[in-house]
Amino acid sequence: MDLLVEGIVQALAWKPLLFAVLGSFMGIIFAAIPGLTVSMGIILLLPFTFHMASVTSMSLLVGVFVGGMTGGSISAILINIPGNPAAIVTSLDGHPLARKGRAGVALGVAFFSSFLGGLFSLVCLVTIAPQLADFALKFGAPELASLVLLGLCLICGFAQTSMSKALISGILGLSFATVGMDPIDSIPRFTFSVVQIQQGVSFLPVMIGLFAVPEIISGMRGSAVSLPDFSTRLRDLLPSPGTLAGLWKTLAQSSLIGTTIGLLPGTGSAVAAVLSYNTAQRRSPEPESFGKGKLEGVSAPEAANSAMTGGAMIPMLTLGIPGDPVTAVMLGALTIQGLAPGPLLFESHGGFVFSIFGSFFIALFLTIIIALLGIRLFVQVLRVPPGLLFPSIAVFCVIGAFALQNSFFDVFLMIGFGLLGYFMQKFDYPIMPLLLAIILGPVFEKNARMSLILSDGDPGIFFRKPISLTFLALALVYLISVFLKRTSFWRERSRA
Amino acid sequence: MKKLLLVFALALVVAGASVVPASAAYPTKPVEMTITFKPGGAADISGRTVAKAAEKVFGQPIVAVNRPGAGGTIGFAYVKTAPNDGYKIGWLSASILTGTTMGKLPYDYRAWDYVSRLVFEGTAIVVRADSPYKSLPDLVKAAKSKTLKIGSAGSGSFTRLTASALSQKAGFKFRHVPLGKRRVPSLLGGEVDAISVHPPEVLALHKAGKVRMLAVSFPKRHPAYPKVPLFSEHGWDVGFYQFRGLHVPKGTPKEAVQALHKAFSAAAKDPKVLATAEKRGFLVSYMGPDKFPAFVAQQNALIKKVVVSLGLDKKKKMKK
Repeated sequence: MDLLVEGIVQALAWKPLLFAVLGSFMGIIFAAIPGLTVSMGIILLLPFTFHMASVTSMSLLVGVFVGGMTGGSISAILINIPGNPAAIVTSLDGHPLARKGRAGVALGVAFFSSFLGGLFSLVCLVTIAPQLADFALKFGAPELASLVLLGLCLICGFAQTSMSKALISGILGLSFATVGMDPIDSIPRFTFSVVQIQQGVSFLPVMIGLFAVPEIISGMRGSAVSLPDFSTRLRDLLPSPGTLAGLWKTLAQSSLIGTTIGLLPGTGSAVAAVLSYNTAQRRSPEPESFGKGKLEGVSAPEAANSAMTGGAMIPMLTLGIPGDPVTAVMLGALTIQGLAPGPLLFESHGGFVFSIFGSFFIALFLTIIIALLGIRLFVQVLRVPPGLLFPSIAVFCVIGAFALQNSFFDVFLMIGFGLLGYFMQKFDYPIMPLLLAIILGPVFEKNARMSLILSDGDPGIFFRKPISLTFLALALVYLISVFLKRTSFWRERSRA
Repeated sequence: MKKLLLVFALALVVAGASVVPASAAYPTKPVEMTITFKPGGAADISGRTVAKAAEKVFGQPIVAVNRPGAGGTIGFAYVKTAPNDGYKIGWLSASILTGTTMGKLPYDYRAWDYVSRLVFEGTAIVVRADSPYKSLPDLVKAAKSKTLKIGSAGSGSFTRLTASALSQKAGFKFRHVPLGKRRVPSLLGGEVDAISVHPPEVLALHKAGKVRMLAVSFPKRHPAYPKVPLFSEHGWDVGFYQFRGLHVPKGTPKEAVQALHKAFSAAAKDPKVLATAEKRGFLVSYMGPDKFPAFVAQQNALIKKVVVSLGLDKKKKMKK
């Protein structure tokens, strides 16, 4: 405890604090502006950290990480475009709430859920990091394959009107996921001898296109829905203690899911958000009201994606294994400072590790303060005439897609998938299954095939491991419950 | 009238700029250096550090730009098609040889001009601390009686080729597992018996006694892990090492190559570069444009032999 206080004090020195404010602010802004992503923000900032003191550079990076997980909800709720993969499900309930004139409440709940989720993961990080890191190592290839398969089954949960349309969208996504160099044998697939296609369909430009382009097109056609005005007084934004207390179950389970997913390398914030959204929906007494503006639907993904931050830092700090792109960059920044993360970092530079925890703690507070203070500014977006708003979003999308890998191929990818997304929405095909399949498809393929290499082709490997078996059983139970619900739904309908 | 004059003046400036030969006072503007891997990784850090140091002598900014994807092929293809005026350069690694021999790039290694080699990186065979194998001969002996699972970054990765070349030299067979980003957790979790990996990724774990680096394929012992023997000390030198350096589009003017050589050979002696090398576990070893092309050709021959023996070049034939 003393160490933590000392760490917080270290991180409160003026320089780290200044950069923590800057980092949290940039994280929020990069996540909130459609087209720009946190990954891009980190890439731009990284070269500067090489010339900073270690505590300062970590304050900056942690600030961006934490701020970024909160900022994505702003554009998701206000203009129905998630600014960050972590927020892809936040718009499902957040935007309907905004249309009902409850944008302020939705934003307030999103910010507080982010804050509490992040705090939960920080507590895990400080208290049981080594134990959690050992637990994470139990997740080998078969366990990950089964977990991701469960995630893929959740595609059914995004079928609002038609199950077949959701499945078509998902299968389309899986097909796109096969394009590029295959993850096991490095054989180019469907590349038509174009070198650029070897990198495959990377999901960030796809996400930017799928969500932003349809909104831009409908905005330009004048068919965008204008939101009712709402009070931006701080008192009206803060969720009442009663509201938060009513959400405690959602917050607890989402924080747990988020932290766990964060521990597992190569899964990512989108998975955390989707899993916890689905869990909240299934455990709710009224699951059918999700997707129409339910506070749980905002709280669950936001708590989970913030909780992921602490989770992802655990294997990075204790074992030197990055859990996601942002922690990979942190790892690079730390090693260039001569502070290679690993089991010895806690012993040799314990004070420094606690200063990272300290800056995490401070970043959480800064983020919620900046977000709440900035809310009056953010909502001005709704007053910007569509003729100005949507063209500028379009510009950001092009810049954002390009800057990820300095590649025009990604810009075309963004535009192509944007048009696809527009027509899918027009004909009532949900886009979430498509995106989910593009994110999860390669992870599933890689781990499933790796498992079979490890077992010499024996599929029993998926059933012999208890953790893997549990996920498979959950997936089966889920599919059966969906099937039963559907059939009873149709029966009632035909009777009526 | 004013506008017309302005247009005229502009036209003159543009015309003037194009008349001056590009080589007259190279470099007259910033140079762009493509790094073919992600920000924050090994290639990025060594590349940026070296470029920063070279700027002092070079006299113009050297701007590092990451063009990652598909094991470096995206960035290599970019440099291949960039204008050969000396203002587009690339930070290459031995991946360019695996990429071309395996047919991932539709040309061979002679499609670029090679300027200089800057660094070497090791490739280590690593086991868990509780593994029964205390040394590389232990592992080789065991591998001769049963099939061990050895992981690497991927099928065509440099780490895999090193492990395969070792197995051919030492005379054993193993089951290769392309672990990708999960290589270190997979070793720690006990899925594989050993991994072939670049030392910086496991150095902290090695020092903490969680894993054991059995041996490293490297030209000489590195001060960051002085007790780890070399492959060559056991008589299994594979002959090729992960190297990084500078290449340019084919036909880049000699003056530009010489100016780059001058700047980067100075960078190889820069104390900041040497300090980073020590921390990151790579070795600075400079070779200029007089010898580097021959070195690349020699490494290519060795790598190609392994690629062909593993049948990895078949994809090229399949495609045609």
